Amino acid sequence: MSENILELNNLTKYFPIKGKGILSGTKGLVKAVDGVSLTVKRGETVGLVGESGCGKTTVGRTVMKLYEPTSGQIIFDGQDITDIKRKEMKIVRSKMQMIFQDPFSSLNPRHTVGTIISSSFTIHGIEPEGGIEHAVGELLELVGLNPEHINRFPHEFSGGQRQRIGIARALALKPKLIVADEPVSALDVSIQAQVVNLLDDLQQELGLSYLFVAHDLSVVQHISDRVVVMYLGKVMEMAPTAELFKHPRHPYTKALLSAVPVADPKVGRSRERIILQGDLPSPVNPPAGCVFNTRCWKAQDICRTEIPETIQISPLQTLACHFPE
Amino acid sequence: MLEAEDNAQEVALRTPKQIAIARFRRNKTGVFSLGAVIFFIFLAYGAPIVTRIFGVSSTETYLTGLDQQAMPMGFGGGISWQHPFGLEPGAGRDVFAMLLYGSRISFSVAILTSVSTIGIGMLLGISAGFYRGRIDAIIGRFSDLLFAFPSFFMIIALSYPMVERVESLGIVRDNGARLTVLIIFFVFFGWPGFARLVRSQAMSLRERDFIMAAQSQGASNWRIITKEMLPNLWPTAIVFLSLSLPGYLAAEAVFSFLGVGINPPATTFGLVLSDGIKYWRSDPAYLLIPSLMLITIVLALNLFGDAVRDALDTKAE
Repeated sequence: MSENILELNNLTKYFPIKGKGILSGTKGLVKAVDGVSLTVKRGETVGLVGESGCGKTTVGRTVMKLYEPTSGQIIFDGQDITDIKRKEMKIVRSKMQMIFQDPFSSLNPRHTVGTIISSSFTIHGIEPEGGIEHAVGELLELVGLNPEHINRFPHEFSGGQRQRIGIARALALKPKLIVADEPVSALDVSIQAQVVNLLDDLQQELGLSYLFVAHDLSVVQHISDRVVVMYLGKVMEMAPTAELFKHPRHPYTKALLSAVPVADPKVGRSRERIILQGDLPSPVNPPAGCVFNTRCWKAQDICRTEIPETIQISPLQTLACHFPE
Repeated sequence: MLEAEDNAQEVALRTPKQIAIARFRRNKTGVFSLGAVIFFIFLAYGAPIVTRIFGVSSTETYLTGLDQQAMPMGFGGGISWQHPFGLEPGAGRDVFAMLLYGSRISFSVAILTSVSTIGIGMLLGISAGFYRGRIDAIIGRFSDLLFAFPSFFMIIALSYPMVERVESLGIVRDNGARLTVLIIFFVFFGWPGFARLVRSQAMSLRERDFIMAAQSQGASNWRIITKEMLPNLWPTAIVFLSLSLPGYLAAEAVFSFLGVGINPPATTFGLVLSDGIKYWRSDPAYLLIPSLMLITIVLALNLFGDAVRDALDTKAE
């Protein structure tokens, strides 16, 4: 049994831009994910951060094989699932599940909570011990909901409760890996803390591994063991959480961290605030060289021509920059 | 204040279906039109019983009620206790019985057409919206073709040879064959409208996260379509059904009026109306009464359809 539950090697996902009409072919490619390599160890939480449109959600969905990867390799639980057949993928799917961002669209409004959660069992033809209803009741209890609410519909719940239902659904088949796609960003701050703590507790109780996609750095800092910083489809920096937040090596990480609000106004006013110039370049036409060169204050000529190699600083830490801090 | 909160609690505990029914019941027009629709459907399908109660028959000729020019005697085309809607000029049949049996055919055509249209439209619309790409293109261009077709003219022009073909199959004859042809034409030209509606909804549904959740759970496409998408499309189908019923009921009347539908001695609204036009000077009631009944039925169905649509409006969910 390998140490890593999930391993991505040079994963890319390009979306073709199709022209209108039958005759005009592909006009270009959106390079949503461009050569991402990362690992998630058993029982570990890896946070995937970056601004909107950097491809972090696409990474999550490609891992789940909801998108076919363009190239690269996905190794889950020691098994290469990159080009796996549909039938075999179904078995793999029972071991990895997803939690979605929007709790209002991730639950079918026409199904009861019981139907939603038990669908995992019915799809895979599994009869849990003590019957499906009993199992659903236990799952509801596990995520802190009243098991009596099994016959209610999603519209009768609040956002936080709905997210708990989504979590219960993901947990039904006792997965090894959960891909959480911004699971708390649609929730109120007070509810965010509850859900994050729930995920934390569940990890300890059930030995889960998380690939935690988020843009909220304080949430990521709280929950992650390791953080991967993405920009325009590429990994900029990967480091253990404490290390990354204390000593960001990549200029982009530094800029990102400087944007985190600090509760103490004295510290907040005195610290250096890096404000990036310009907009995120289009992933259809990413800049030559380092993708961050258009907004980087340290950019030199080499950054505009040569793609920085990803340096392995330690087994858990990588960096892709010509001029790291 | 407290009471309002209690009420909110109660509302929140209902299923989407119960909410829709409660909303429908609050709509007085809707409830009334539903009553009218049920009444007319009962009259149509209970025609043998109703006519027996009134002591009339749709085939018997009441010649004693006609004068020497074969026109019904008395006020309003021979309205009497025994013949509440009067008598038919010429043959002397009871108009009330004729209309009951006629509306039976009209309702049957409307219901069969609407249900088949929805069945085919649902299947092709979901396929187009869910699979997109080539399947969508083929279904979409074919329905464009049907939309562009002069269907009205085609039905009239092709009905005669089509009836012969259907009869040669030996399953149905005469009016049965004529109605079959009419229904086939209606469905053939009618499904693209519903298919488009379903396609657009299916496309928006498939982008919702719960479809992706089902995929990540390992659900097959068939399961996603039947278990995740269909329950969200039923309201659309029900609304379409209730709004297309009056349309096809009226359409059947139009084609029978033009002589494409069924032949006498069977009757439908269209036939009675085209007959009534011949006598509109000497016996206006014979034109007026069937028209009023047709208008009432179509209006009741339309109002009912509107109320159903309002009740199923999912925005409030």
